[in-house]
Amino acid sequence: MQHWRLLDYSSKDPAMNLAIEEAILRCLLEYNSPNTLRFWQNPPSVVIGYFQNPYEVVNVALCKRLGINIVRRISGGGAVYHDYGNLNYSIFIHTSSLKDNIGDVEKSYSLFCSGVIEGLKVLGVKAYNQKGNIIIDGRKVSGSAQHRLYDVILHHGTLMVGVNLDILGQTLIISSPERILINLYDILPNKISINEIKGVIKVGFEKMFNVKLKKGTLTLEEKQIAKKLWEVKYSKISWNIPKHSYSLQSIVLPTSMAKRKKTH
Amino acid sequence: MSKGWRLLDYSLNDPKMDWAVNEPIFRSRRVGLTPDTLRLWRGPNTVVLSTHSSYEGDINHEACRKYNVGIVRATSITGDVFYYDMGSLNFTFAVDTSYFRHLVKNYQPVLSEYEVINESIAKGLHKFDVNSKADAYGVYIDDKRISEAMPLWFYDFLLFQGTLHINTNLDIYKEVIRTRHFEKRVALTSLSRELGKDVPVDEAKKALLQGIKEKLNVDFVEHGLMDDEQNLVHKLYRVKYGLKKWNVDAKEPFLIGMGKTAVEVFVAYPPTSMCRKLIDMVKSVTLDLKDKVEVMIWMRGRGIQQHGPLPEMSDALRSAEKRSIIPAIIINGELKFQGSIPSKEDLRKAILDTL
Repeated sequence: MQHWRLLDYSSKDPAMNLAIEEAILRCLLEYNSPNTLRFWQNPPSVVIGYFQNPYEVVNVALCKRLGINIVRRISGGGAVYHDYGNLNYSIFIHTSSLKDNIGDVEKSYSLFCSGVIEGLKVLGVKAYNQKGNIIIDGRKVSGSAQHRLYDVILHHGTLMVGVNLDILGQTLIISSPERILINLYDILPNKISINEIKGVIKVGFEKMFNVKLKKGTLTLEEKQIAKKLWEVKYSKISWNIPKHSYSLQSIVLPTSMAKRKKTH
Repeated sequence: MSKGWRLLDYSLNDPKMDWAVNEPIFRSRRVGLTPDTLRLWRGPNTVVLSTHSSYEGDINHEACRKYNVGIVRATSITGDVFYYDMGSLNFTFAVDTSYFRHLVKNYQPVLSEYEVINESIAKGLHKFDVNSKADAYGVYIDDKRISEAMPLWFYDFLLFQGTLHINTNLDIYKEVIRTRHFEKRVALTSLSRELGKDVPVDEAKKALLQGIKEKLNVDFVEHGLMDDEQNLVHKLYRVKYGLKKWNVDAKEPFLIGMGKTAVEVFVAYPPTSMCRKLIDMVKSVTLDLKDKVEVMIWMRGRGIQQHGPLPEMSDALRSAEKRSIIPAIIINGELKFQGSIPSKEDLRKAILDTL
């Protein structure tokens, strides 16, 4: 049976938390870190997807007023609101250590979400995967995204346990969040601690991947790389809220058009 | 003070070659090799498809065969299929439009640029005492369209390729293009139809030049194609305009600048040690090919500005970014290697195959 690392580590800085995500992935790529399941939490913050324009998906002015950081992750997908009522999980894995070929992105989402779904089953919660979102009673309790680097994959997701949906609805440009989102605390008969939830998800991943998760810490190399990534990327406004499109998806337009398209 | 434009009076009498000329003119303007350019030219019976027109759906192929009409596809972002013949006067504007903004009162991005060019054409037609008018979509005489064009943008640079119907045979026009197009379109006319007599095309050319000169406040200096443009005409004929792949299927090769082989390398930012190894390898493999190959290292997350203010990138690169394929090596717009570092030999061979 393979042994993976279980890492329960959060920084109080959302930018550093994302730098750690990328640092672990890079160290895994160089075979200096093991496959890992990480649990982490952010203080109130908004995390946007790599391709998103924050001005289109986030109430930037309100976030500034409330002191809520907006940070960008390396994976795609939509914007999410984090607070301590939200538990994040991340899987870092070498594709070579998986039995099945997970070149098919949809299949890989299904595989990684199954760890969480299995864990929720232990709590008596029936949930299912829908394109990387975990759904309970038609409402989303978890969203996830992936980033691939050579033959390593980062799959990370949220699990809404007791998120402040009121603030979420104000910070994200989203209508009626309470109709489409659900917190675990809304359906669990007894409130259990976040630590207990981590425990069942750990069991879920062990079962679905047939591995043993062993508690570990960040390596020195991971810390150093995270610090560097934080310095050159994640702490920078130019990365989180850039003036120019930093992704390559924008269309080549006359400058007059481009100025009109800009929402900031 | 008026602006100096190159005037290129250059026709090749072969539809595919003629259309292969327009793109190098545009490219050389973009890279700053040439000034703003107006090409005036004529060609045999031809139907011109825009990039997004349907080869099967928009043309009556039987009529094309009957009248020996050539078919060619233009690189454009929009535009309706049109027809020209030796009675038409074709024009190609390859210009930096930032200059145009000062010529328009209520400036509207993109539309004003089309409008000002069309107005310059309409002004030229005034010499024939016709009631010519223009808007962003065309040039008209008494609400009938007399000129058509297809635009292509690269940042502020505009390629505006079209035709002015001087003595165009509009009966053939209506046969070779599928009739559904005429139901939606403004009625067509030609200068000869309006005047009731044929007009020497050279006379129309002089009037057109005068109209453009006055409206756009430019002076023309006659000059031929530059060597680099000439070379690119032949290359583009070989890899694009002369091929079914482009004219029928609308699939075009990705070319950069003046047509060097483009090797796009997509890596992480900041580069991992494996990415650095890959970058070094690509550079060493292409060291002796610098005059034929352009290597562009794209770092994910460093934005489109990482290669200067007017970067060019292929759709395959965008797709690699979207699908998070790191690393990716794209040669002339085709994804050749992905997810791992290729051998030096394989990479070299893939690049040499394009030369």
